Amino acid sequence: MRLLAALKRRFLSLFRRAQTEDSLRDELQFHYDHLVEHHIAGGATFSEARRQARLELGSLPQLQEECRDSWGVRALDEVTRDLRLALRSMAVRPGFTSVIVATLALGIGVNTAIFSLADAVLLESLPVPNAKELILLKRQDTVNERPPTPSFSLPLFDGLRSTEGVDLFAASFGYETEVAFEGAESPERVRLQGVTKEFFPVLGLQPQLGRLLGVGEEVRRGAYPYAVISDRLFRERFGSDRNVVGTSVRVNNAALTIIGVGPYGFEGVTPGAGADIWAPIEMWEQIEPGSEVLLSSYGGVWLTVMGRRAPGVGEDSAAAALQLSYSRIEESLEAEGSPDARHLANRVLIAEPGRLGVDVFRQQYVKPLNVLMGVAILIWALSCANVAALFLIRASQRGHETSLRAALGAPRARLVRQWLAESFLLAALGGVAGVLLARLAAPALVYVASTGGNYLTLDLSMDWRLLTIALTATALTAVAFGVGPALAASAARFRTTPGTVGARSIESGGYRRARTVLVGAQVAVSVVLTIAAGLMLQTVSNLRSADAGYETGNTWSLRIPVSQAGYEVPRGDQAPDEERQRAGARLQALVGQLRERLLATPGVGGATTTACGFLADCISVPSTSVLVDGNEIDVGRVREEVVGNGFVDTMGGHLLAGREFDAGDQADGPRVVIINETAAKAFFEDSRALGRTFRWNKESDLMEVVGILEDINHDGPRQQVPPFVYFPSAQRPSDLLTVVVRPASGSAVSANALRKAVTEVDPRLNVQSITTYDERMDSHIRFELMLQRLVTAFGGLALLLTTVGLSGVLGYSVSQRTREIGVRMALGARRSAVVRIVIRQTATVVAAGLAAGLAAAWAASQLIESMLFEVQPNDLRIVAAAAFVAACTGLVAAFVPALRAANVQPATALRHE
Amino acid sequence: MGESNDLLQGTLDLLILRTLRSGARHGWAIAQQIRNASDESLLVQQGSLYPALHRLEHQGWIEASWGASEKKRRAKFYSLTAAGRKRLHAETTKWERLSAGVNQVLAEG
Repeated sequence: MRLLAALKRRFLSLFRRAQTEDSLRDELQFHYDHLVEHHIAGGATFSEARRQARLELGSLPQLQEECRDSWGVRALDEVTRDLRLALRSMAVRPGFTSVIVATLALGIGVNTAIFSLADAVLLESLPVPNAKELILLKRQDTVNERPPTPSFSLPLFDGLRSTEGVDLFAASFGYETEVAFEGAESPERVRLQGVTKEFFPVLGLQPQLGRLLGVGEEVRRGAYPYAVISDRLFRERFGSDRNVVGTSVRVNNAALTIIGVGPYGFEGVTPGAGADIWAPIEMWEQIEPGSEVLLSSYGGVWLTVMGRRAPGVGEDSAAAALQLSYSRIEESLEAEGSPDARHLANRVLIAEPGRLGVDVFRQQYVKPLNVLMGVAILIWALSCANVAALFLIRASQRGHETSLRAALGAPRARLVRQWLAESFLLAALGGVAGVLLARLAAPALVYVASTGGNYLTLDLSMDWRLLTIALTATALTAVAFGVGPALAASAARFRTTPGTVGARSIESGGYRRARTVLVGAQVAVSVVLTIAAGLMLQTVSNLRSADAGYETGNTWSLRIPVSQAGYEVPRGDQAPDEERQRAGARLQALVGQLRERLLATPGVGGATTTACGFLADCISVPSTSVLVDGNEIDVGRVREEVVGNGFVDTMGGHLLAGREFDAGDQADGPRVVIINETAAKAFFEDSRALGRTFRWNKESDLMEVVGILEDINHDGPRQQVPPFVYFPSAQRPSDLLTVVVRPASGSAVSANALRKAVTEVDPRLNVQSITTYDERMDSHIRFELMLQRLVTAFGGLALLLTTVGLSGVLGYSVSQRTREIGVRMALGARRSAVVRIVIRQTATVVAAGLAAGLAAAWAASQLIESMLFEVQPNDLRIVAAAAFVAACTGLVAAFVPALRAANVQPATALRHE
Repeated sequence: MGESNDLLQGTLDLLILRTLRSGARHGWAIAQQIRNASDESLLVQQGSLYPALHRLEHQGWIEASWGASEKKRRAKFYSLTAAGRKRLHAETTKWERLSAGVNQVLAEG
């Protein structure tokens, strides 16, 4: 109770400030008066009595301080006073204040935005209940050194399903495909993810609307034509129209009914690669006809498998149980003598915590995000340096006032605290502005980062963790730019020359040096970022123009799911040979017609068909058991492609030996193939492969090599080309069809023209996707692109900040030396000489900064070396460009100060205070 | 303030409280009273009186109000609170015990 009363008193005394001060003064005055009277009564004179009383009572202000001390609010009191003073001095200089707040906002905002991006991509749990119970399955190769892969086949998943203690589900990777919503005029591109029936029940999600797949109902293979759309699609595509539930959507070959909308913020289990539509894997044969191979092969690893541990089951026991199931499956396959056993051999099953979902994309983002965070910290350091320089200028200006206060007895700590109050206030304002900026900038960041059609699906909400980061950044900022000038200001030794007009102080050299260092540091940071941007620009340019072994540029790829239009080719064991042959012939006829029609289209230089194409998201089953002369050779994975006639010519590839496929290679003729150079070297020791034969696998016929193709890169510039075997479409019908069209040199051809041509051949044909090589390449190099864009943007920002900072410091320096300049000019110096002074000063700073920056950049670029492509970290051209940019920055920054220096009037300057 | 001798501070507090037991007084009067009551052997340091008064007020042992002095001047009068009265009793007992103990030791000598 007493404590409460005491606290109340303290609180009230804070507020009744003025009143209390007055009353204290009155009280002491009263005592003083009595003391004087007492002494007078004792015989002293008036002045003596007063002196005596003053001695006895002590200095009134000091007494007041001590009384205030006993109130126990002194510290708080002083802080409040400091803050008020700081606010006032900030309000008096709106320009100075706003520049500082803006600079800080940029530094802190950029940091917060990038950290929120990194957090969302790298750290955020899946938005499902009890995400800690989730596990992610991976297969680890025990023979070759490779990271574990989260890819599984459907039959393997089926086998693992029944494992005790875990509930598993499988989901495909989301991929873009064209679907037709009910009532829509044309097909649209959405991300489709196939999921097994356990997906939604195991994740434990609640639908926003309608119901979810497999929840509380039986799902039978081939008889569950339903789909669920994501919350994002619901909002953005359907405008939250509740009537979407119950409408149908055509996904490739299947008509599904939308039965529900997923929960808010849920976009699948692969962060960074969200899904818009979930469809049942149990319906995959209807959705993707021709996928039977995929669905029944142990080699078709197109699924990710996750699960939830049953209550009470620890991570280790779950992993052990799963490994046991895996071993059993492997053993039973071996016992049957099935060739599929090899897909399971030499691998173990791993169960990792699945809280973060399938982390494949995360891992790809780790390096770029680390680089970005480094950039963010650099920008923050730059903005701090900028503000520190400005603060030093202020300190220098207030030098006179500060030395006076120090002389009057203000303790150094008090002076430092006052500076810190101002810096903390500015930092707080900057922090608030920065957080707001981050909120606006984060979606822009995501947009820039999502390149090439792979949009990042992230929830960048501000949570307490990010605010903590922002706050920490703010506090650090305040200390970083406040302490230095504060200490400098309070230790200032200023000489005031008596007798001169005004009391203009001569600045100590320490200030000038500090400012120079700060601005030099800014130049250095800008140089580092400029070089990084240059490296990334060059990398992207190199990647885009990399030699892929074929003609790239405007080559079109049209993915056409021909099985939809009735051109299915049944599997070997599903239909009699006759039927298969007829289907194959139909398909080959179509291929021929397409080629003919496309070649007749104006602007087309070449047309052919392939199965997967190039830079494509494609699933093919490579062979690992090629037999040459009856012996299985060990060459790892051998990839296959099925190509039509005129393939090499259309692609602009180069035949090292032999010939192309042509009309002479019929379905019933001898089996012929073209192999690439790598395959030739791998299969046949002496590389003279032309005319030789081999078997694709144990069951296949003998194939004759009729052509050797110079290596073509199907997978992108960074990948090594594996051995490739190209089959003629006549002999190996594949209803996975991609048409490749090369425009004639000097011409262009539009997507619409191609689409039209295709539908003219057969109106039932639907072009699923139509892209140019360049578009696909951009998607392929999205990380490099993202980094390039962001680093360039931030580099520009850094240059801007540096220019502003350098200009401010130079301007101040000029105003400091106005008298000196006036004297020089009065003594006959020309304007150009004065300008030269300014330029020389600039040049010194820029040169020093450039040197430091180059050294730092050389060190830093070792870190991003893995992201570069065909460009050295110390590429001379880029270094020269950076030096040029730095020089330009210096010139731009020096422009206004130099102008001012040149326009100094000697007469006024000499009178300048 | 310099180093505060806790014993001295506590003693001053005790004296102030005792002085106020017989009625409200202002600061000057308190100082006079202590001087008189001790036959001039205790002269209160003027500089420590007011901080002590304010501290006591903040701690709740005494309370203040403004009134008119004998010379019709505005003065701040302090008086004991109920808690202060209890505190005075407790501190007096403690002081008596302390001084008795000290006396005993000195007498032994």
